[in-house]
Amino acid sequence: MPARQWDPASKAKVVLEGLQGKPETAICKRHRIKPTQYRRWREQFLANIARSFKAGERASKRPVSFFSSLVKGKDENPEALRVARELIEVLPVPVFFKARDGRHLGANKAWEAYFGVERGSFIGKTVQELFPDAPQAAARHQAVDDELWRNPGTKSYELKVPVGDGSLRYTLNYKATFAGEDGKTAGLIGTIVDITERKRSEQSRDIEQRVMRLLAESDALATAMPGILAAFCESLDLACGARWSKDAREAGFRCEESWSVDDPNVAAFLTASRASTYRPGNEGFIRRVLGTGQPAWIVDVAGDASFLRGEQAAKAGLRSAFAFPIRLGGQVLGAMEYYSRETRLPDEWLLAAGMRIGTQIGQFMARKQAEGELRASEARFRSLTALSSDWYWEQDEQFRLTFLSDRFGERTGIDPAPYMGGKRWDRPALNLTEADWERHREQLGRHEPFFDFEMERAGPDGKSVWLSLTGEPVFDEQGRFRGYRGVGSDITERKRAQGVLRVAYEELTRSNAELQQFAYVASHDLQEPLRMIGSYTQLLEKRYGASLDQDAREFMEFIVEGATRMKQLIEDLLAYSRVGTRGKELRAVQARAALERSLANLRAAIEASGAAVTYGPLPEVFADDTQLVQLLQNLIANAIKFRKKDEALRIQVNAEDLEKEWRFCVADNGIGIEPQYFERIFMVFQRLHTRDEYPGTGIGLAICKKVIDRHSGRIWVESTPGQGSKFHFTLPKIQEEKS
Amino acid sequence: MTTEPERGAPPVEILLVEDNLGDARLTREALKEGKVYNTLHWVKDGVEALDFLHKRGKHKDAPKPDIILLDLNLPKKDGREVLQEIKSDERLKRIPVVILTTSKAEEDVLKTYSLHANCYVTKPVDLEQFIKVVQSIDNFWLAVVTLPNGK
Repeated sequence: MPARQWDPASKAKVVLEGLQGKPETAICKRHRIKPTQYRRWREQFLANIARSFKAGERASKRPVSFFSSLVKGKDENPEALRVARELIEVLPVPVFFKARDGRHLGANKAWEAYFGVERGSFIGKTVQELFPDAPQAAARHQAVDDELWRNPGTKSYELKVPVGDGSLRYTLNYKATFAGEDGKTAGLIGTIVDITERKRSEQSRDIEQRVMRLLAESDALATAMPGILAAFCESLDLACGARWSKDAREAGFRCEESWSVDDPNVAAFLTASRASTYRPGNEGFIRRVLGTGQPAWIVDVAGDASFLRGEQAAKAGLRSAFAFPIRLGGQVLGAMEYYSRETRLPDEWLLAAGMRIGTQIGQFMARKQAEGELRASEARFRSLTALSSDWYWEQDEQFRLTFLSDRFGERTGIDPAPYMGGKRWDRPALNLTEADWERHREQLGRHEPFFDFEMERAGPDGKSVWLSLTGEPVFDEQGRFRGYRGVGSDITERKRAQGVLRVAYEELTRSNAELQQFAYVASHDLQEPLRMIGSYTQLLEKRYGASLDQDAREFMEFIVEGATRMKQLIEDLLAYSRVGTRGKELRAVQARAALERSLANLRAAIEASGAAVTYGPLPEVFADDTQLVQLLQNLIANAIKFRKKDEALRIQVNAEDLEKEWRFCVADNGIGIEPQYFERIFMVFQRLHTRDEYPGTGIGLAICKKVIDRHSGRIWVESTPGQGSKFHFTLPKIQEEKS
Repeated sequence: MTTEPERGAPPVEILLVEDNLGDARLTREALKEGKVYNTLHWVKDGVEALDFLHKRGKHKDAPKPDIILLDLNLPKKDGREVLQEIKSDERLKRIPVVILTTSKAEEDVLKTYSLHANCYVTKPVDLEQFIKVVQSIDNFWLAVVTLPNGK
């Protein structure tokens, strides 16, 4: 685009836009000019105005009277004066002029508007009289004037002054002297350009840059914060500032860091702030900011009921306060508060800058927290790898080993060097065939995780080492496969133990089977010689008894009796061994039906003993029905056998629901059992009575116990000798189908 | 072996399949003690038992037995197999078979094979019991042979 040609009138129009208050950047953008260019035009423009005054003065040869006539409207050089007066009047920039004695001669309308002073009241006044509330500003003006009186010419300088609405504005002041008829300096003309916006954006940039630099250089917010607080206070001429943190867990908040000017009263205010703890629920300055996430401004803390520290603040000479939140997205993490010693009106610009800085700090906090979490996570990982007996490994996308933690070598004794950079299947594993490797490669090719992949590698000293690897695929942020990583452990010892265990288990299974077979065969084959002994002894007695004496017949009786008893023992032993080997699969069985079958089997004994057997509701259980019948039959037969001679026998069978299992009870009012035998009665061939008192081999309860063991239940007895016994046993409940 | 006819009925033709000499003798003695009028044919293994039943070889003149007493533990071919063949042969399956077992346990096992023996007898140690068993065989046979007359 060809550069535009600017004529003086167009330049003046552009400059006037700025003098009317349009921001410099907007003007530069709109007209496509550089800020330096714009500023040069502005200075030329203002200098031209000053020159036009001088020109008028020269034309009239009576400069003082020219200006006085300009002010008073006297008609000395009618055309020049009219032009100059009108020009000055319509200028949107404040213009004033004063005499050599420092007293003001006049000003234009823009000046009146800017300072909110009616110009008639200001003629003849000195600068000190004009700014009674801003002695420092007045002194600065005076100093420049004095300099100009000494060295006539032009001067420009910046100064912060109070204006009509009470706010402080940054002004760029241009002053130029003019000479009287005698050639001596007769006075000066001045213009004022309001540069508040620019100053503020400069300040804002300055503070934000300082904050960013401090945050960048700090590891923790606590170390950055004094500098951040100071940056605000120094740039904005504030007395003190503090940061408040919100404690999400305790739902309270407290003052963390503060900065103040060197003033014991201000420091005392901050100390008091920090010493207190604050709970949510009441109104308050910081509470409001934390609650709303919005900035707040208090013009006078002493006169504001919502400011709870008003008394202390007033004591410290603090007047205005503002605060803004530290935010991360919609979350309020804390707040920053600042105090000034003079009254300041709410300043939207300042609060906007504060909000931006609050966001910066919030992001910093979030970043530091994330870093802290990352560090903690790394520390945990380091501890894990340091303390674990496992090792960590990584593979690239070609499945080449790229990393192996030291633990590998320490644990296995294998030199890792030959494995590095190689694929897992480059070196042999004693337990894996080529087909196994192929399956593993296919799994890796599908980028699936794998668990407990076992390899038997050649270890040092010719011994093999068993390794178990677990791995997961790694993908980058774009979802591209990047390899595998995982852990490995040395399972040599476990494998060895498993081997020993397996051998022992096989041995045990074999020996158990042998034992069962032995018991069966032995008891079976023992029957035959017994039969020979018993039967032929009887045959002998039958045929030849008459020719034998009484002793011989008795002896033969003993032989027969012994053989008969031994046969019973063998039968019982066989029955006992058959509980384990000949059992049926467990299934749903009605306990009531099982009980009734056992009662039917025992009908003769029940009738003979006159026993009264009663039973409550009985459930369906998970059992081998034949064995359940046998179990109940043995318990009831015992109750009948061990009844009291002088009391009617009562037998009660019950079942109780114990949530996970059923507890059965067979209770009688028989002779009972002494507590020291509670365990012994369940052992094979253990008897508490002689055969003369109570017949039997002592196998019944042992069979009961074996049946219950097979059903994963428990059996035990409660008894009081002379009062009766209660045999309890538990059976598993039927597993209900989840539909 | 034949004892004196006492009841005007022909003797019971008994086939005893038993390898044990002592048991075989005991059966014979029990029959004698029980006064069972019988003809006892004794074979020592399963193969011979089937030869007898099918009238093969040296048993080509063997009579069809009225009752078979079958031991389970036999050489060559055991009692289970013999029973199976008898029960699957149309001509033999009506002959009553009494299985002689050594123990109750054996009987339970056999029942699980669902072979239909007519009766199980556990060989008792007590001779008197055995005599009773043998006598019951006699009663059983009498009932069988008197049936046609009762028609």
